[in-house]
Amino acid sequence: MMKINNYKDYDTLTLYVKKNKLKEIIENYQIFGWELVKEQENDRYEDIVDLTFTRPHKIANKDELQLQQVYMEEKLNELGKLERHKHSKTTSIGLCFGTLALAFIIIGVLVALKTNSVTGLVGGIVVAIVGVLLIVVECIILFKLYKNETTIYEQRHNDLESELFMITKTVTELTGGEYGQD
Amino acid sequence: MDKISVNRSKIKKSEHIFAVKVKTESNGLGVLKTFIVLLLIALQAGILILSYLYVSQLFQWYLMLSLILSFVICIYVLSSDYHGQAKAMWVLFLITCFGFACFIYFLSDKHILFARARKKYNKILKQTENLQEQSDLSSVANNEVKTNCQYLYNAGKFVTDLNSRSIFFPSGAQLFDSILSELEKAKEFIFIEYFIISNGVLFNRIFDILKEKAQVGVDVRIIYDDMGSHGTLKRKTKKQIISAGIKLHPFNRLVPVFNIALNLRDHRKIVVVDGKTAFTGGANLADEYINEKRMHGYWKDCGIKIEGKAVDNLTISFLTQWQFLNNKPIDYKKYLNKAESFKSTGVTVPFVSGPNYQFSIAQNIYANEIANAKEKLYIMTPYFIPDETITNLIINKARSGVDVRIILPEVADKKFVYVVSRNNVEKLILHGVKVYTMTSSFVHSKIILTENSAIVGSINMDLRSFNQQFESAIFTNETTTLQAINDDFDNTIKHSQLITKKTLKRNKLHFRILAGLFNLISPFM
Repeated sequence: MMKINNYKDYDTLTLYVKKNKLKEIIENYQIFGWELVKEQENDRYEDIVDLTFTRPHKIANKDELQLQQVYMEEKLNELGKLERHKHSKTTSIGLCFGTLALAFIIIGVLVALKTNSVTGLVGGIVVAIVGVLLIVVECIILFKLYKNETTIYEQRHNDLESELFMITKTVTELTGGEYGQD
Repeated sequence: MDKISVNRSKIKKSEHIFAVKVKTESNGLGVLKTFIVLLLIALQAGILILSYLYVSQLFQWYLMLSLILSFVICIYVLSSDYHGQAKAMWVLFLITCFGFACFIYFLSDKHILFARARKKYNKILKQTENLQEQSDLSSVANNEVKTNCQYLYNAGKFVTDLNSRSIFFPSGAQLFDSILSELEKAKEFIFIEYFIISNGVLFNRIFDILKEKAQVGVDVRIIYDDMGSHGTLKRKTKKQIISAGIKLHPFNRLVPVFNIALNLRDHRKIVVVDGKTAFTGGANLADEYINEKRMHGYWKDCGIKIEGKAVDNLTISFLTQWQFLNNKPIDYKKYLNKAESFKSTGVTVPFVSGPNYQFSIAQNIYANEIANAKEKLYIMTPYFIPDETITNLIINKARSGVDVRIILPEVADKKFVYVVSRNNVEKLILHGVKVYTMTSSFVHSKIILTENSAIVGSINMDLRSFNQQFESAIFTNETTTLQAINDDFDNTIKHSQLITKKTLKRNKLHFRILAGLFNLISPFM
């Protein structure tokens, strides 16, 4: 707490972090010389933790460290966004087609059950079959899309991880620490 | 009432309820209501017809009057000293939105609302013009440097000093660390002038020292721009500053007093300590400038420190502004000739610019500097909205084989200004100018570097800085400073992307449309 209030000798940084990313974020910031001095639950959100770090105000290569920190924050945010939208296309297309197919099936079954004529019965069955076919086609499309999205995700995820590793490497060189790859 | 109850009983009995018409009021009342409604409609129609006839007649007069007045004002605008694009924009604006445009023009024209202030400034400047003598420039080997020194003296009596030294800081953090350590050494006076002063960690660090200094009798004065610091410097803090014995003055209050045009802002960044050390640069007094608060990615800024007799130029400039704001005479000599002499490798000329001078010193010195470049011309600026003269000079330099490089931010602080800047700068790429954008950063440094000299300060490469704002900067050709600035350019380019013909934003139609629209108002930006 002493360090937090000592703005003359120490810089302070406050972060709001998702609980599942806590360890990773703390480790990432420690590389930049930030020391965790306070950790508390967020007042509003259950899955968020407020972290307060401090770092001596006068440190070597501060400008470059600040710049690399911005790069790291950008990559971390992109990584988070990537994970949130990992299969966003598959999900949205699946939901749209699924609803449409379900609507076809329900309408078909209802028409077939309610009608008194043969034409109505046949029509209802045809509509229901179209709905079933839609589900089959959707499954095939979604499978391919899911695979494609997974590949893109993995590729970008790996790129971002290696970019983060490069940042870590640059920073540890600047601070004179050690770095290693997991 | 009876009728109603009868009808209601009918409803109850009826099987086909929806076919029964229920009457809820007596016929007499209905007629009266209808009559009143019709009367009101007729009255409304009558008013509309009358006002149409009356207003259309008035409208004709309005059109006649606005046509004559537009014509007169347009002639006034065309004969003003605005540059071509601004004149064209004002004429278009005045013709299309006459009343509103006239009001805006009235508020922003420095010849109307600034006239009284200009007279006052002239009087003060006359008092200060003989305070210093120009150095003998015969020892300055480089003719281009000598010309610039001479121009700065003739334009604003900014003397050249050959025995001052400067230190360049490539970031706001380094600049303010140096300012803090110099403030701690202060014994006589501290003058601070900033566009933005904001509550935060940086302010607290500085305020702690200023409080101590004021208590031991150091004369501490602060000028802040009322628009720049609006909402960032809290009222409570202002009271604390004053109660600590520090003299505080806002420049051009936002309250419309109409004694000075509202768009004329004090964009200067000056710190003078004891008349021995002075600082200027791009960074304001706020946490984002030292990257202790995140606003637009990494904040790339810069500053410069000078030591020696050259400090007097900035001391006089600050005191001139102070006298203008306080209306009290100042004994300038009390604050001058405080610095010692240093062995220097070049000239140091701190200078200021603003609407109080007859010419746009900022624009002219930039134009001179660009024109003097023979091998390299490096520019770092957050905005790129120059006039045709500067644009053509840059194009000609690039076409003549000069290595022209411009560094702009990748992250925008004001989206519409960024679109115009990017559009302007992309046009230069076609002529051989190398344009870079610093990755994930907002570049706020304002530097021009040539093989002979450099200008570092608060002057953006835009029309507001050239024509409407009070600016501060330093012209120097000190070898070590030029090398440090060159290193900063090299380092910034390492973290930047070169814009190629393939990556032009102008390749996209929507960008060109937006840029075209925003360009219309670019003289205001």
